[in-house]
Amino acid sequence: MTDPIIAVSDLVKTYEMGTVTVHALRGVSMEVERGEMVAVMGPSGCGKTTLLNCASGIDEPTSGRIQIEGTDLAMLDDNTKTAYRARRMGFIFQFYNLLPVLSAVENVELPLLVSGTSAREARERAIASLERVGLLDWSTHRPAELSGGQRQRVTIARALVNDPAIVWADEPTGDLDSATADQVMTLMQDLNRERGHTYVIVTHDPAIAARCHRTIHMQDGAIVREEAMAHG
Amino acid sequence: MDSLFGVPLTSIMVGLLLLMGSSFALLAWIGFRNPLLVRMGLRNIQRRRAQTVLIVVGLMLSTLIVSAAFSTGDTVGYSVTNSIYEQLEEVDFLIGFDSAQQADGYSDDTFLDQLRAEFASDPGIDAIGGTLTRQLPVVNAQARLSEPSAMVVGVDPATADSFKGLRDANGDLVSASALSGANVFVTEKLVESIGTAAGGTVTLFYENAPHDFHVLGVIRDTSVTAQGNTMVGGVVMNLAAMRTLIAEPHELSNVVVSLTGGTRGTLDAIDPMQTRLDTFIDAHPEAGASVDFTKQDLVAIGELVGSAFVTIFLVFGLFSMAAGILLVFLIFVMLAAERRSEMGMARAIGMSRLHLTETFIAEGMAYNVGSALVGAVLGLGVAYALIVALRSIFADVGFDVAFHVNPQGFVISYAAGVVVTFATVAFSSWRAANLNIVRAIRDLPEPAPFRTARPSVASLGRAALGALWYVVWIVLVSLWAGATFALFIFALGFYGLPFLALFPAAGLYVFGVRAASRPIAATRGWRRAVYALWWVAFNVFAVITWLLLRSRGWANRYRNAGGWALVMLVIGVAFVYLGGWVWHQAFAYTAGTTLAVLATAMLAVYFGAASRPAFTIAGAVLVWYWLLPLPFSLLWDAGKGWNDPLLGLFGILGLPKPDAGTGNIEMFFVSGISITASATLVVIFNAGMLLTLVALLGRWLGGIAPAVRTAVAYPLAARFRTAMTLAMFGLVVFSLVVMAFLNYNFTQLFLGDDAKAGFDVRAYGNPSNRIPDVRAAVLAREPSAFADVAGIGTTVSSFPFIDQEGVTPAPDANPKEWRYIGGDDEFFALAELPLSRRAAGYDSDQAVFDAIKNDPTLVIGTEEILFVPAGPFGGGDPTAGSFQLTQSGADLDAAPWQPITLNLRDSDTGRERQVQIIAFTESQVTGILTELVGLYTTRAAVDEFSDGGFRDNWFVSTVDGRKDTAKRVADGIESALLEQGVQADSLDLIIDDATAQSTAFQYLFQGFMGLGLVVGIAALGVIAFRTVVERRQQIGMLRAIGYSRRLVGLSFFFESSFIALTGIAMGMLLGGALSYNLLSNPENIGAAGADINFQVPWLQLTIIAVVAYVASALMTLAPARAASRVTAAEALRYE
Repeated sequence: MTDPIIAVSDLVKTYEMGTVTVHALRGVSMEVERGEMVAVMGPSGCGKTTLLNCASGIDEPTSGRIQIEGTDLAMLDDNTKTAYRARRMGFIFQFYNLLPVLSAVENVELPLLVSGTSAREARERAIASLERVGLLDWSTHRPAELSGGQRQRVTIARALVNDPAIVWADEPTGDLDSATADQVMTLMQDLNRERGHTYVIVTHDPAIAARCHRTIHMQDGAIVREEAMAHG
Repeated sequence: MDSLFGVPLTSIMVGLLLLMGSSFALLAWIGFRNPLLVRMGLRNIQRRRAQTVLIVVGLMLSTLIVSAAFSTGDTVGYSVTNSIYEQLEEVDFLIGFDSAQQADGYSDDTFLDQLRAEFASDPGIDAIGGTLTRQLPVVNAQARLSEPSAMVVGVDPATADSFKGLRDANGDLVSASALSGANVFVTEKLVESIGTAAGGTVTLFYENAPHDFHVLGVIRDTSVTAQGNTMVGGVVMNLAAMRTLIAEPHELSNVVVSLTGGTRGTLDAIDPMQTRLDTFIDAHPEAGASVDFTKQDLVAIGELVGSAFVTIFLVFGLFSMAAGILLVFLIFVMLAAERRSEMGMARAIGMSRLHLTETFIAEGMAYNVGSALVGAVLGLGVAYALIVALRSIFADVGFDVAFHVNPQGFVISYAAGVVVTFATVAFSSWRAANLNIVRAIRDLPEPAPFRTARPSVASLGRAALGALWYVVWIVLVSLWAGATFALFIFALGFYGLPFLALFPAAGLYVFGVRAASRPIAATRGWRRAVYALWWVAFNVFAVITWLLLRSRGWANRYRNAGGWALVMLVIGVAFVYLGGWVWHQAFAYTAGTTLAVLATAMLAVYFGAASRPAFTIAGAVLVWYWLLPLPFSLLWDAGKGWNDPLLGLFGILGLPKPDAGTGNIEMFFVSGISITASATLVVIFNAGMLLTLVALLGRWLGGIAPAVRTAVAYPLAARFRTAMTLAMFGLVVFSLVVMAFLNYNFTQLFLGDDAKAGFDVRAYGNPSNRIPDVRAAVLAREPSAFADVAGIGTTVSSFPFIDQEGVTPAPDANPKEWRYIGGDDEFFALAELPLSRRAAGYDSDQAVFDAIKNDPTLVIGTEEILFVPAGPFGGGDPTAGSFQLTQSGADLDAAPWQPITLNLRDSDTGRERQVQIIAFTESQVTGILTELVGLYTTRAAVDEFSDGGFRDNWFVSTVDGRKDTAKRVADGIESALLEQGVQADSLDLIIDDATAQSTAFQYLFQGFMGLGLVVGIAALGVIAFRTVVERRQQIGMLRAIGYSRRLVGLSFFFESSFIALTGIAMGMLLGGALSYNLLSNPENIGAAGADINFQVPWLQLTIIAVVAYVASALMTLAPARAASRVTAAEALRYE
């Protein structure tokens, strides 16, 4: 490892659930190279999503250190972290999480607009992003008018519109049928190859993991092993 | 109306318009910076149309209430002012003659002639004239109709026309030159009483002798004809004829002065002219003249009346407005809950908290702008309805109310509605945007707000500093933004367009602010150079700006709920100290105590205590505190000093005790908010017991048991929104209940049988036609009138000047008069005058009455003469114009007291007498019979002191006390003594009229306050509609496991009913308890001395409960029906 874009060390996350303390992450350390596509696998409750949330800065770890592109997240206040996410990160969630009141193109341009990009440039880039995922003709439709696969492709377009350094995907194909899941995964692989984005994909589907460069296996809040894929 | 709460309306309007402008400017700024955020906000409006309607209703209510209050006040103020102008016409000054120097308060031509000579060449004066007035009986013999006490006015035809006070029915001027000899004008009001017309004859009785006059025409009632008494009509005649009639060839009652400038154009000239008139009057002390009133004084009173109406309606509307604000808050809390996962995702992809807040503000403002306008317009409609009601109430006193809308009031209402809603929306949006991204996306519950993993005093202190700095930061930035804006406007106005040359500097400053809000490392290239220039150019301001920007992050990072609680505690304690020891003000003291107790509970939770006991104890303590001394008074007489735990505690410790005795009408609002909030805490944290109860009752509930169980369980699961709705309902019901209790009990007290003082008929004598023996006079003319009379008591009264022995009046205080009443033996035998207080040595009421019969220097006082201190809920008026003793009722109750010595001086005879008050009557005696307010002695004592007194009153007791008998007796006496101008009234009829008027006012205010119920009902509707959407999948599940459609619908219906009924019960109990406290300790409301027998207005309470429940039940029918129609398969698929 020479140029880790993500460096996590001794990450601990606990939740207070009434009188019980839940240890979601127990001192996780890992690194991800720039342009790498990494899958995080493990059974339900093992801490995959918690790791993604903490590493991406949308959740606060209890202790440990997270560096993204060399910047320690703990040093950033909420507004700076938010602005950083808008400029340098993309997110893909299992249930699409699109804003129902906005059209596809408006959903896609949202991260650009809130990070200060001009309206015209944001729209051009959003259109281009939608075109890249094959949804140009659906750009004015609202999420309710799109199929599950289309919605997830809008999510991918939104994640990519700011040309992010890192794309975080939490079960991106979990709500899709296998054919659509395959299309979505192919799209992400293509983008990874073409643009060199770094992908961290939380999944419990071995088929998805198999298409990544490396798989991190987790259990009970800890990384139990790592596995480099043959094609990687 | 020019001012409200002492602040000029123009200032209020400008302030609100600036705030409203700032709100719109903020919206425009958001739209300019991020049009997508505004689009998102606006599109959200279309998502739930039915809910949108309820939101608009909720938002417009605050504006409606303000608008209705303003329009009603404007109308009343305008009507009063207008009637003053119409009454006064061109009379600007009325000069009277002080009876201290001039016997009977009359003067002669000398003063008038001197005044005319002094101002003869003054161009500012139109005319100076004199009038002579008496109240005399006037009879239309032909029609057998009479007015026992008409105003008969003599005017000088040479000057009267200049005052333009004589006008016919069409408003055209009538010349006084036609008045000569026996020719008179009669007023419209007199025509209503005696039915005469132009060409008729009227007979006036003076000293029991008839005098006929020819009616030239009918004129309007004006200040010239009424001379201060607007209740009766009048006769206007030539001054010379009037002097002949009363055989006083030079007498004058008043001098009137008209200034140049017409009817409405003289107000500004009045002050300087009054100075000159006062100088003249001071130079002629022998006349005993003084300016009784000016047009300016009366117009100011009109303005004050209008302002008082606005204040009253605004204060009574505060409950509804508070409920409205809660509703707006609740609505946005629910909207935020509905969009929680969307918001979490938006935050994840880069939207900041500010962006989310801006989206909500855009949405809120879109609702706000339209609904405030609708509210302001509907407010005019409500005001019109109120005016119609007021018009019928005022019709009895001869005052016409004409609907009038002041555009200034309308603008204030609209702007106030927009600003209040904006503030509420901004706060709720800010609160909604403070979410945890992960929990929001995964829809996990938020942790307990006050709980923290590692509580410590140090972290709490840091959190409090963070919270405090957060507030300071917002205040400083707001001040800075406001000052910049004001400076910009000022500079633009002062320097004109060249000022725009400073724009590059402003641009540099804005650039620097943006750069300073980011890490320095993030600024590169030419930006870094410009940033450096910013530091150099703005140096000190740059440092301050940089500190502000950098410290915001610190404040944001460390502030938490525990920190806010500590800040609250400090503020609460500071308020307790200031209210109790510095300001002596009930509002600060009680509100501070409430804040401190709540903050203590929050801190207890912060340090690990369980929420339920902490908030239950705090809520219970506060309910107990606010209802003191009720919990004690139910058990034993709490005595003095234990009504306030702090007072008792400091007493035990020997420390200086707090004194927060004075408050005002706002305390009703403060108590309502505090008691309701505290009780809501107790209910909401303990309502789980209801579930146990439902489980126990299960087998009796039969098939509906499952519906009841879910109906109780769901509201308890959504504790916050249930608490908000409960508080809204409770608050409005509380206000209605307190109002009902107070009105009912005071009506019972002052308008009950006790108010008749043992009599059934009251009769007034006319001072110009005195009757030495009323019984003989009636029997001589109409013996049948006395057939049903059991007894008749006579009182004579005079009005001597009064002062208290040993008390030096203020040097500039005018001498004050007090009624000195002499009763004959029959009066004291018949009268039921219960005594509330007796001096030491008088063991019974009878001992007191025996004493005054035997000693003319002993008197009984009525409660009105006692000093009335203001209570914590207002009342009292230490600056009242009438005479007051230095002692209050409480002072006398504190220990046995010695007779109180007073000095009396009769203005007619010049005699002086020292008397001692040995007892006081209870206050209900004078509720209706105001002529019984005074000092009681024997008739012989008054006869001797005042040469027979000034006025006779008779009080008749009938054989059976029946209403119809009293009416017959009153009519008989009035008919028999028509020519002496005696007025007789049945006390039952007077009480009925007063009750009707009081009830009308009560219904009017209750109706106005009832607007708040609409808020509560709208809140239930919002919740009900929302829950149907929220629980669609759960409804599907319930249907799948066997809930029938009916059971699902019933569950929703019961749920709303549960909240509504709990709120109604809470409001009823708390309102009843507070009312009990206030009425059993009337000094709390500045009504010391009122001996109130607490009664429950069952009918009104039932109506309030039924109306509130039925309306809320109707509102929830539609959502319950919608819930019952959800199909299981669809609902389980629904996302």
